[in-house]
Amino acid sequence: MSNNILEVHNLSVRFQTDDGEVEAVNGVNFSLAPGETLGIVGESGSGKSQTVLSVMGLLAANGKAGGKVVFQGADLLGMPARELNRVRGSSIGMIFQDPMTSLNPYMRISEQLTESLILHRGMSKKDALARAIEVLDAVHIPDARNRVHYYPHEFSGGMRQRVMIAMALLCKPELIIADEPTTALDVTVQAQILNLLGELRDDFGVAIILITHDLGVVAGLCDHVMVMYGGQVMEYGALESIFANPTHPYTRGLLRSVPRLDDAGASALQTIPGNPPDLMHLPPGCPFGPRCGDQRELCSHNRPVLAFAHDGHARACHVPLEELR
Amino acid sequence: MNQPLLRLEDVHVHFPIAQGLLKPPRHLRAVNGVSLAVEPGTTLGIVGESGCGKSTLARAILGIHPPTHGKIWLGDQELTSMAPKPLRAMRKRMQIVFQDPLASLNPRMTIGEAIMEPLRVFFPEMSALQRKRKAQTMMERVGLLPNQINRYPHEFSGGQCQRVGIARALVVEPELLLCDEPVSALDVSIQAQIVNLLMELKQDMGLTMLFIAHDLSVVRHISDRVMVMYLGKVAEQAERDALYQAPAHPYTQALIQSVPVPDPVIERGKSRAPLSGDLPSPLNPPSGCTFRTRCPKAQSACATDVPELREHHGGQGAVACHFA
Repeated sequence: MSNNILEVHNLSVRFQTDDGEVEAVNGVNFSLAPGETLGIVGESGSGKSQTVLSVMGLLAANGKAGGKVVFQGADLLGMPARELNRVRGSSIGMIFQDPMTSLNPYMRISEQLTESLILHRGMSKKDALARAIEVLDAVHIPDARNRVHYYPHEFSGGMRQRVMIAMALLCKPELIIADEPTTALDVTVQAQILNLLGELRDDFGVAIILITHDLGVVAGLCDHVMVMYGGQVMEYGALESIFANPTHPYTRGLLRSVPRLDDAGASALQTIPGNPPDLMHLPPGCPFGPRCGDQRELCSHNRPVLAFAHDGHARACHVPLEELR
Repeated sequence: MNQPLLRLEDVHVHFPIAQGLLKPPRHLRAVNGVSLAVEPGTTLGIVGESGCGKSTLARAILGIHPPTHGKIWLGDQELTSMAPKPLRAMRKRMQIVFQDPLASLNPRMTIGEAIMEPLRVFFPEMSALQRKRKAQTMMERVGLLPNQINRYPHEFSGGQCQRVGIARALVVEPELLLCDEPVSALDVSIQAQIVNLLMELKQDMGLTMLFIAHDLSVVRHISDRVMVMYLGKVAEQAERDALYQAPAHPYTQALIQSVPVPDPVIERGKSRAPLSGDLPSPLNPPSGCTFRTRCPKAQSACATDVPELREHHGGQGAVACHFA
């Protein structure tokens, strides 16, 4: 069991705001094996980003994480900042959605890429630069030897995202967390970046947590999928079984409501009625309850717990599977 | 063929880019010779990646960025030669829904005021009570509660704000509705609600729509005809199913292949990204066919000869490629 690279136990994230407490993440459990790719799917406010930000110790100042995040045997949540910095710099890499705002516009790529190597690894400037060129090559930036001296604005959006990925690869991490890495990109460039992530996983055996709202993105890259809603895990399972046999009303609703490219337009799309939940006033029961077509009496006051079946597939729903519409 | 409601003939929109005090400005050709016709009651979808000129095209039609060259007709009225005042009056016949629903509403106006504003502008003879009644009827039609009329935009979710944006556009009963990425900023579960709403309203109000989006799946769902743009030009246009089932332009083919489908079997079966490289700078587009730098079929002729848009899809569409 402990050969997992990452284990998250009962993770909760709360934000203190002037208007009251926001429950962004509630009782989230998952684990990740080395080299595994986990997709976390959810809409805005589902808690998917806050889950991984708390893993990285990057919550906003008014946020507080509870529970346990065990990375390679050590609990990251209770760790002093110095030690956490070492783990972050050497074993976990992170890729954000918008590469332009995550890169410093005043610094050459070479400085931004070598900074952490010189700081964390005590490398000489020359060795660090050689390593920077090596990772730019790995993410297929043509003419890396010259382009390493460019500024971010001299790259296109797709190239900048490659630079971000190169930066995450610098310290040979065992885990890469990618938060909506392709959302800001055009489809043809998105396809290139997704290919690249798959290649890195296969070549370097790095584990990936991929956060996205796009079910199509998950389908190409991930081994397991975790579906979140209102700060909770609704369903978890192997990729094929989530898509072939979704067991949660929310997952089913999501899959039905996306228009598919390979499907000529039906007259109307199936929709999930209502609006996303207000995290300040989550219902006492299931967060999806108010929008759920299968809602029962029980759902409005009892929060369902994520329960695992034999096949490793898990769902948080009071309604028995056979009785779902 | 019926007389088209909207017709564009060789429309160009160029923006001057200053180069410095003494140098003449360069021109960014955002829209570079687009012609199209939309029949009444149908939806034309326009797809393309960022920088292809699809939003500029919508703005040119509305006269926000008047075309530098070319002609635009709404019905039998030519908009491009019209004086500002009559052009203003034409705007009640065409309205637009924008991408970011919250940013396109004035945060200090109640949603009622926002929806009534176009009535005040275009129908000054209407009484305040009539305007309010009309706004409330419209609110109901887009799925908002009439008693929410005095609320402010920040009290609504993104999906609800987009309903307000739609109500505001449709309250003057336009003939043509331009939608510029109307669902891109919305969550997946809300997208479907708005797409359904637009299709319903189109049917009920007999609207003609121009639906601009980068999401090919949504465009396929909502459109009758689809036009693909690349760097300011039309690459291909055809009847919806023809375009998706038998795309003729290599760019259309690549776009369709690039879209991730929520099906592991299909996605795992894809071998590699269909296109390499990025979009070239629109300030400095490649010579000949602008797509040639990324095109898997490019030959030496593509660098010198600009491909003309010629008939294809059995005369029901057109494609601009030497090899299609």
